[in-house]
This record gives sequence, structure tokens and C-alpha cells, in this order.
Amino acid sequence: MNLLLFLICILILFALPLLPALLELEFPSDNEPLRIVQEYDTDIRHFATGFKSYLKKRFENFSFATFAEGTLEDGSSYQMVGQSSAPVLDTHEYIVGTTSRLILASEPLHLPEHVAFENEVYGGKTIRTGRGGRYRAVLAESDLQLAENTTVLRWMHSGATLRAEVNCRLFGRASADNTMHIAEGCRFERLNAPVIYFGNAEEMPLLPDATQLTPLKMPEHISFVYKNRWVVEDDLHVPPRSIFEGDLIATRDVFIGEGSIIKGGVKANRHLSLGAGVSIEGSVVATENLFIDRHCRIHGPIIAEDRIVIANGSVIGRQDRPTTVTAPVIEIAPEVTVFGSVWALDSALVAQPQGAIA
Amino acid sequence: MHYAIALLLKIILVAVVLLIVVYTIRHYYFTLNRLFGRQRYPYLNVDTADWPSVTVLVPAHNEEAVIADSLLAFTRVSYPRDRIKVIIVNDRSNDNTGVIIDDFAARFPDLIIPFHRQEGIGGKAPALKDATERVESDIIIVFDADYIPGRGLIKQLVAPFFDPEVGLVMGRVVPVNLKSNLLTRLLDLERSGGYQVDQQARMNLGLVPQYGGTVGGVRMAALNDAGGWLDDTLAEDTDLTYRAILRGWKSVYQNRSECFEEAPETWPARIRQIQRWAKGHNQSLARYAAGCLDNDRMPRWQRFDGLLLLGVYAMSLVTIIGWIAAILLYYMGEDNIIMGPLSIMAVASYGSVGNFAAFFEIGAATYLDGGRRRLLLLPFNQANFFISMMAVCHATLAQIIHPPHKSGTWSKTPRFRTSDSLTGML
Repeated sequence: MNLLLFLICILILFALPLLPALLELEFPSDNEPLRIVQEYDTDIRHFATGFKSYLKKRFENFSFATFAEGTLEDGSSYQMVGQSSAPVLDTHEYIVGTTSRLILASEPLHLPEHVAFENEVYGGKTIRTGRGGRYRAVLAESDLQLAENTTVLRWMHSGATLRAEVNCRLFGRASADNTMHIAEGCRFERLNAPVIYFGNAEEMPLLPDATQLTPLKMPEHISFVYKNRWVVEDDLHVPPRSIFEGDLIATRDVFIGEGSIIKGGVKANRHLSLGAGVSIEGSVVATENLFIDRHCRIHGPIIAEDRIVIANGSVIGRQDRPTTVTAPVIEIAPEVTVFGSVWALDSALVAQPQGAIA
Repeated sequence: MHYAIALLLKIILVAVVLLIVVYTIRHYYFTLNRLFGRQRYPYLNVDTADWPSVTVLVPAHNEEAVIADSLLAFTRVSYPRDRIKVIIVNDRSNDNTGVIIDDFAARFPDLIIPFHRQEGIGGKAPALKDATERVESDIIIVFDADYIPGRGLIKQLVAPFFDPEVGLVMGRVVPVNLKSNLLTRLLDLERSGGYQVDQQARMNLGLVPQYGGTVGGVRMAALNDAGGWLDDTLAEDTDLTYRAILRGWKSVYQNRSECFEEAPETWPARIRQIQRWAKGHNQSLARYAAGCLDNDRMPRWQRFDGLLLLGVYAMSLVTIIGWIAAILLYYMGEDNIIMGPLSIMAVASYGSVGNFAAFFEIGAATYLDGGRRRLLLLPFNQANFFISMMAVCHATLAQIIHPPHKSGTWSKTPRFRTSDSLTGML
């Protein structure tokens, strides 16, 4: 009897810690697979497209050309601006400088200054925001002009040209179907357009004359060679006005001298610096900082794990080969052109670079 | 004689415990890095590019239960249609796999290319080797036949190849059939630890994330430089990983490039799977351990961790040898070694079927995935690890005793999918 009791106690002692596990097994409460969004495809226009679908469904029998107001399912209100060029705000909204209405327009829309729009703004034609305005999201079927000191919190999209004047803050996604102009002093996170002009960028830098360049000699401290792929131990210094066809990889820093042409990709396992007038017909990748001097031409993508600085006059990508520039922090000088995307994980700024980085 | 035997056993026990301590420190370091260190996802935000041509290879042998779902998913991917081809390698299936593939190929001739393989050695590695001869693109992405890629997954897996140093890419495998039974839930926890913590930590630390043979990609230049697919291995993925990194290519891991898979639902299937992995891994250990140590062109920490990665399955046998040595020493009356720092190290690290760090990894991974109550099942993973350990040990001993493995048959996991299995997932 005592032995039996002893065994029962031992069994309980061993089984007791397993009780929560047994309960979870018998009555599962957390047995769903990890949620994978199968439809996710990095499309920057995802929210804009979704919003348009929502408007089409919710307001399919409405004409935004007629002034109307109402309430949405979630209790917030909307206003169809009608023939007016601006929304009609009540006194309280003007005093507090905030409205939570969803604004819908079919004609060119001009938004008031220094007002925060807590709900989306939609324009069937052009939209011009007010100076100092704050917006949750803005969608214009045609041009979208963000006046100086505009802040957009989640996303913005233009069916034509998006212009951001000085000192705008563009959080979330900014996209345009034609062109994008981002003025100096603007901060942003993610941009995408067929062509993005920073500052007054218009001219394309000239390519160096390849016939006058010196073929790059194989460095002494080379680790691996496979066809035209060189992996160099330690730093790699490419002299100015060199030419190389292939991929260059260094286990530490890379310095490409000015006026050089690399017909391939370049990778630095630390810092990477491109001299003025360099042309890279491939990607540029650095595990830390990446500095691109003036008047460079890079096909891309450009990837850094710390910071990217792009100086004046550089052109990234091509019209027929759009690309991506991505890093946690990005500084782009005025007079830079990018074809494709610029995506900063933390923040990006349009400003003159504060000197080269090592 | 007694003294000599005791001395030998002590040396063995010390060596085993030290090895386990090394692995313990490694796994704890990985977990802490994953929780508090700098996380690296450098290629994730490449959303616009001149996307290179890519060929998706899907080896298939008797996959009628799952292949249609996989092919349907490939028709929906967002990769530019003129830059992607999907070659389904039907390797002598004797079910309706071939019929299903031909049906999809007829409906999507610009995308899906059937390759009905009737000759040559059977098995995944030989099938890949033959199929690769038909590849004209710069990049290969490999999926097993039961995988269901999301729309953006191909782009995510291709993006790292813009880095000229990258030769191999691996995404994350996520079990979809958790609700089946206890085994699938335990395997989900195990996979979570392996990918969310272990692989990502290796990526963060610049070590060797392993290309896993599915939800992964290979650059053709890296494949050719490394000598191509070898058809005499059970783990063509591990084998290629090491040949490529020893030639100066990098392998990278993308934690957010996730894809559903079917985990084994029966213990025999699970045991066969892990034995296959163990044998393949041990083959690679035998082939490339010396190369790892000798290669002074690789960073030291990379070489060291590469060696530890190669040895993970061999550690099961090593652990059991350590147990035997400890028990024998005890019965020989040589228990003075139990006292002192060694005993503390042994207890701290050798606490549970090897070392306890694996549980820490799983706990951290599940927390990062947002799971909570599923962690209550963790004690059952002790049984899972014990069974796996025995299975791996058996496989390792068999490899040592019998001649080296010669490929010739398909070793695959049985499929249990029904039409309801994926409801709501796709």
C-alpha cells in the first residue's frame, strides 16, 4: 500500500509540470500556422489601389461632382466637395485645425493651410495641399502638389506627377505614375515613380570615354577568381580612369577612382566609395556605408546596410531599367535623378551631403 | 588496465562535454543576437529592378496530392512573365503527377515546362542535375513539390542575387499542417527555432546560413564554379552550400521570404526524414570539414561556425558516447571527475538530451513569431528530440558501418494533404 502510494506520488510529481502541455494538446488554443500574406508582392501602390477599390464599392452610385455629406460605417463622416475647389470645414474644425472627414473631389482640389486631415483625401483630378498641412493619405488621379512643409503620414499617390515642395515630410509610401519631383529639405521613407527628380535634376552626366581608360590590373591580394568575378582580400582601390568588365568584391572597403567604368557589380564588405564621374553597369552593395560622388551613373540596385550618400548630378537607373536604392539612412543631394524606387528603412533626406564618408 | 580504460573514458567525456558546451554557447549566442542584436535584411526592400531571368525547378516524384496547388501558385507570382520559367521535373512518377503537369503546361505554355525524366539515376539530386542542363537563365530557384509560394516570393528570393558576392539564397519554411497532430505541432516549434533564430542569427553575424534545397536559389555561376550538382549525396543542399562558400561565394538567408510546406504527420515519416538529413549532413562533414579548416581565405569565425554546422547531426552519436562514458566511469568508481567545474558545465549545458539551448531558441523564435500558448508544448519536444537523437544516431552508425550512400531512389516525405487542408491559407 505504501509502495502504491509512493508510486502514485511520483507519477503526480512527474505529470504535474506537464499539465499545461496536456491541456494545450487536448484543447488547442494556439495551433494556427504562421500567418503568411500570400498576396504580398511589395507593391508600393497597394494601399492606393485598395483605397480606390473601396471608394468604387462604397460610393458606386455617387457623383463626387455634387456636394454631399454623410457618415461612414465606422462612424466617421465624409464630404463630397462638389464644384468647389476646397472642402467646407465648420468653425470648430477651423479653430482646432483638424478634420476627420473623408474628403472626396471630382474637380481640382485646393486644400487649406495648416489643417490636419485625419482621414484620406481623394481627388478625381489634381490636388494641391495647403502649406503646413498634415494628411493621413492623399490620392490624386492627376497631379499632386504638396506645398511646403506638408506632412503625409501613411501614403500618397499621383496618377500623373507628384511634386513635393521644400521641407515636406513624406512618411510611408509616395508613388506617382509619371514623374516625381522632391525638393530640397524634404524627408521621406519610400518613393517610387518611373523617374524621380531630386531638386532641379534635369541633365544626364556624360559617360567617360572608354577608349581613354586603363584596364584594371588584377590586385596582388586576390582570394578567388571565377571568370570575371574577382574577390579581393582586404581593401580594393581602383585607380582613377580605370575600366573593368566583371564583378568586383572586397572583404573590406572599396574605392573606385573617378572617371572609372565598371561593367558589372561592386560589393564592399564594409564601406564603399565611388569617385566623381564613375559609371557602374550593375549593382553597388556595401555592408556599411556607401558614398556616391558627383555625376556618377549607376544601373543599380544600390544597397547599403548603414547609410547611402548620393552627391549632385548622379543618375541611378535608366528609363528602361528602373532600379532601387535602399539603406536605413539615405541622403540625396539636389540634382540627383533616380529611375525607380528609393526606400529608406529609417529616414531619407534631400540635402547637400556633409562631406564624404570613409 | 583499469587505469588506462578510466583515463580514456575521462578524456572522451571531457571532450564530449566541451563540445556540447561549445554548441550551447553557440545557440545561446544566436538566440541573444536574434533578440537583441542588429538584424540584417539588406535585400528585402529591392522592389524595383531589371529582374534577371530565372528558372524555377520543381523535382516531383508521385506528387499527385500536392503538385496542382504548387503549380497554381506559380501561375500567380508577380515576377515578370517574360523572365521566368518553371521546369517541373517529373521523375518516373507512377501516379497522376505527369497528367497534372501536362495539363498545366498546356494551359500555361509560356511559363510551365514539363520535363518527364525516364532515364538516369533516381532521386532529387540527380533530377536537379539533369534539369539544370536545360536551364538558360542566370538563376535557379528550387521548390519541393508541396510548396506554395506567395505572389512576391520569387522576387524576394531573387533580390539577393543583385549582390555579386551571393551564390545561394534560402527562405523560410513554414509548416501549414499544424492542426494534424502533436507531431506536426512539435515540428512547427522546431522549424521555428531553426529558421527564425538559428538561420537569421547566422545571417546577422555573417556566418554560414545554409541553403536548404527548397524555397531557395542558386546562381548558375556559383553552381558551375562549385562543380555543379553532385548526384551521390542525400543532402545536395548542404553539399552545394559548402562547395560554394569554399569558393568564395556567400549564402544568405531571408527570414521574411516565407513559404508553406507540409511537415511529416507520422513518426515513421519523421524518422526517415531526419535520418536522410543526418546522412546527407554527415557526408558533407566528411567531405568538407578539412576544407573548412584549411581555407584561410575565409574569415576565421565563418570557418569555425561552418565546421560546427557540419557537425550538428554527428553530435547525437557524440552525446550518447558521452553518456556511456559517464555511466561507465561511475560504475568503475571513477566519479571524482563528477565534482568540480566540469560537473557544473556538464549539468548546465548537458541538461536535456544534449544541450538545453535548443529549447531557448524555440522559445525565443515562437515569441518572435507571436505565438504564446503553443510554447506550453515545449516539454513534449524533449521526447521529440530524444526520438530524433536515436534516429540520427542509428543513421550515423549505419553510415559508419555500411558503405557510403549511393543515390538511386527517391527519399521523400509522404503527403497527407486534402482539399480542406489549405482552406483560408491561400
